[in-house]
Amino acid sequence: MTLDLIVNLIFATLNILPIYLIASLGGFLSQRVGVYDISMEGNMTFAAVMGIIGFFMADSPWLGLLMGFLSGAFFGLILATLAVKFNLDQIVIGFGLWFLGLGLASFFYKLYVPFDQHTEGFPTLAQLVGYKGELTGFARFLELDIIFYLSIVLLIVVSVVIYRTRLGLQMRATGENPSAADAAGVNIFRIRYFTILVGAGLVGVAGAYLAVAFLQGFTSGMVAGRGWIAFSIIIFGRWKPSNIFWGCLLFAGINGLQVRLQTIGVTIPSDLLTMAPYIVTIIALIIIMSRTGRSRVPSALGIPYYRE
Amino acid sequence: METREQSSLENTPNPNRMPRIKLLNISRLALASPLAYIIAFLLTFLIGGIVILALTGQNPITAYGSFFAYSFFSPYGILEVLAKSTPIIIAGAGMIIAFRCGLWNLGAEGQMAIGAIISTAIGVNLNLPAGVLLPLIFLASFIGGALWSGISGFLKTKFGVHEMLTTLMMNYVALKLLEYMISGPLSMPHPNYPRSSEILPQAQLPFLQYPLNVTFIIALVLVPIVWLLINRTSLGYRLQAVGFGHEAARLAGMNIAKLTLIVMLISGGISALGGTAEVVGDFMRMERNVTGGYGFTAIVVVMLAREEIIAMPFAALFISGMLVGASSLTLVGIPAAFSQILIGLLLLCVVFAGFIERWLKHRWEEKAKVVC
Repeated sequence: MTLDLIVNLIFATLNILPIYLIASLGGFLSQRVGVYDISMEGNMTFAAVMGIIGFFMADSPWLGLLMGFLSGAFFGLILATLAVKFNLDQIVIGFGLWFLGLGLASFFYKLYVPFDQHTEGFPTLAQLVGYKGELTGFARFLELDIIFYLSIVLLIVVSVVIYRTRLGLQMRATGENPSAADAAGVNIFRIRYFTILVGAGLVGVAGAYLAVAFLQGFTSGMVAGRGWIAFSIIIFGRWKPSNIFWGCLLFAGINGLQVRLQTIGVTIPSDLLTMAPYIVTIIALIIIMSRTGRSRVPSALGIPYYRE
Repeated sequence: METREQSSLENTPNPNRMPRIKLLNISRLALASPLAYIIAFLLTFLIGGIVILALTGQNPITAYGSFFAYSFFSPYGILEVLAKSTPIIIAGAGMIIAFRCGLWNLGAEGQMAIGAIISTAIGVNLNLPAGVLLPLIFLASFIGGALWSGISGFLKTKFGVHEMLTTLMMNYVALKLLEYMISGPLSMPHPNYPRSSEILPQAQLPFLQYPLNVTFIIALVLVPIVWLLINRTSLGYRLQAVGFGHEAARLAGMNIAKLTLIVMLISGGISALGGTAEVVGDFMRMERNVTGGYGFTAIVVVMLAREEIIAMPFAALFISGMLVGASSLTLVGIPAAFSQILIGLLLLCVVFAGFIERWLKHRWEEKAKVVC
């Protein structure tokens, strides 16, 4: 009984994890090269709708994710153009994109999403290896869908690229000291454009996954601050992929707990229970901030770069 | 914030050259800012028009025609614009105080929700004469909103947690609390959908002319009060000093932590009155959409006004005009969310106007150099 409960909780946690993990890794990439992506919430909302539209083009969740990536990259393109090319205020651009995203989302939703908008998720690992039997205990992890495993792969890829490759070195240099990197022959603008496009695209993928596979449909306000939570995770992850992973696990855990408590019939009003992630964000920020550690914030984060 | 950062980036004219620039050129430089703004507005509507044409196939010119005709040239539309601008102006007035102190209070939506909850709780349950009840509602909402955003101020001063994130998170907490209240403790008996009972008749403020109500006057009175607070009081001078730079303010002997806390308290208190205004002036009860996203819209309004309290009501009226105008477009099949698209575009284009402004000034200064 208790083991079942724990397995259920872990399962629910890992089920939600990809949303936070993919979104915060995407936002992390932008910040690593020195540009705040405040628009994550709006980006995810629009990508959620685009994901559903993509799904219905061919009844394929993969097309949904692709549309999510493209719409996210479109946001990244606007951000990069205004923030990198024209050196304008990244925070204000982010808020503009946030509203644009919310507006575009309901606009597209009203125009293009069919009335019966039920979507289907991704194949689970068990389905992929062709296992048909009933899974119990920890073997249930094979029931997690393929995107969960891919998001873990993404975490490893991002860590390796950032810390072990030449491109990653250039990305870090761009975020830490752009003029030195420029002097060393790094094309700051190309690196920033590329990274922001990929990063914002990943944020879009997270939004599309949320709509297509996790909630399997779009309702207004469905992103419900998850974009902002992902943004906070980057900050209290101190701009390190491994910490970001633990932060995502924490929030996925809270979400999982929420789902589980409701199903086993704990009588806390659901509205009060849904407050938990936001309160935990605040508490986590307090804990991180009051622990005086060496900050890993990219030194050039938020500062426009002018070539001399 | 944008204005300050950018002003330091602008090429300051060489003082030796200054007197030799002709008067004509100086006045032309002063034109750069309004010109850039006009370009930004045109650009916004141009892109918005392309969106209409490309996505709905409607003629953007007729769409904009009915848009403006309804929101700015029809009597009912104008009243609606004024009515919708009320909570935005109140929330914006609260936010500007924090922004001028360099504090990102983005929690107006949540503070409004707290104001709404407190006003409803008192307005439904305390049967007092209007002369006592209404001041009590406003005072209690102010205190409630102040304490709510005071949490973020306290976390900022005590732990150094950035107020932008905490105020944003507190929005969602407050909205969930509001939803809990209307479906639980403050729910009316046997509602069709989650909402509270109506507040007592003596707590309801009258309509000037439907849909415009008395709270609009409160909003208008609030603007000069906040202007005086920022520009004519010692607190205002201190908060502006902190806004310009912590180091200088600290060296001048100011207690930044205390000031931060006071500013967050006042800012949240005023913003909460936006929620109160919606309850006692418009809804007369509490529903899920009583805050209507106006607290989020106020963020854009404050940014459009470049944190100037006098410019803020005009920005609020303009944005409110967009919200109202877009609702008239639903008749021709353009979703009302078009207003949000326009608001986002407008903010992006106004940021871009900063670039145009710098470019124009740079160009005209170059020309002035050649002329001399």
